[in-house]
Amino acid sequence: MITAPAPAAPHWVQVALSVLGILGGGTGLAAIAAVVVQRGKFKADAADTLTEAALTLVQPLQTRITQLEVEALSARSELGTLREQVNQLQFVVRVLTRTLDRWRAAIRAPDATLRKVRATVAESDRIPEMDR
Amino acid sequence: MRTRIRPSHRPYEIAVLVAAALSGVLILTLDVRPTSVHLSMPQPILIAWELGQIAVGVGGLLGILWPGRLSTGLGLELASVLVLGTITGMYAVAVSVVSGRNSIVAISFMMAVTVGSFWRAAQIAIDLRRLARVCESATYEQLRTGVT
Repeated sequence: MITAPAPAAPHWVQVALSVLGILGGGTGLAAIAAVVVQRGKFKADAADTLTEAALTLVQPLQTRITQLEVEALSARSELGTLREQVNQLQFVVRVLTRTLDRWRAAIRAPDATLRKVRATVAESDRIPEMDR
Repeated sequence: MRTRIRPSHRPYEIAVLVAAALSGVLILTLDVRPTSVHLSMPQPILIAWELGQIAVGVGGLLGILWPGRLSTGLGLELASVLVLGTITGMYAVAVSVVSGRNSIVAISFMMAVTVGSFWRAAQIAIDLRRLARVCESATYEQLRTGVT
C-alpha cells in the first residue's frame, strides 16, 4: 500500500530495531533450544507434575489422613464392642421382663398362695438363661 | 463446596497471542503495513517481524494448550512471549520515532504488552528451573506416592 519511498526514518532507528529484533528472536530460539536440550531433566508428565509448593501442601495432609484413618479404625472397633454390649443388655432385659411377668401372674392369680408363689420364684431361679 | 480461583494473567496473554496471530495473517494477506514499521525497519527485519507475529501467536497458543509434557509447553510459551515482547517493543519504538507524542496511547499499551510478555517470560523461566529441581530431587514414584 505504501509506495512512496521512505521519508527516511533516522538510520539509527533501523539499526536499533534490527539489533532488537535479532536479539529477541535469538533469545526465543535459544529458549526453545534450551528446553529441548534439557528435556531429560523434566521427567514428570503434565498430569503428574507437582511443584515443590504443592508437595509441601500435600505432605501435612497425608499425615493428617493417616491420623484420621487410625482414629476411624479405633472408633469402629469401639462401636463394635459397644454394640455387642447393647445386645447382651437387651437380652438380659428381655429375660428379666419375662420373669417379672411370670411372678406378677403368680401373685395375682386368684388362687395364689404363698407356697405357690415361692415355688414359682424358686423355679425361675433355676432358669438357665439367666446364667450369663 | 469447592471454589477454584483462576489464575488472572491468562485472559490477557491468550487474547494478545490471538491478536498477534490475527494481525500477522491480516498484514500478510492484505499486504498492508503500518507506515511507522515500514519506515523504520530494513526489509528482512520487516518480513521477520510480520512472520514473527504469526509464529508467536500460533506457538504461544500451542504452548498453552500443549497436551504433552508440561515443560515442553512452558518452553514453547517462553519462546513465544520472549519474541512477542520483542515484536511489540520494536513496534513501540517504531511508532514513537515516527509519530512522536501523537501516539502516546498506542505506545503505552504496546509497552504494557512488552513488559507483560517479559514478565511472563521471567515467571516461566523460574517455574522451569523449579520444575527441573523438583524432578531432580524427587523421583517420579515419590511424586506419585505423594499425591495418592
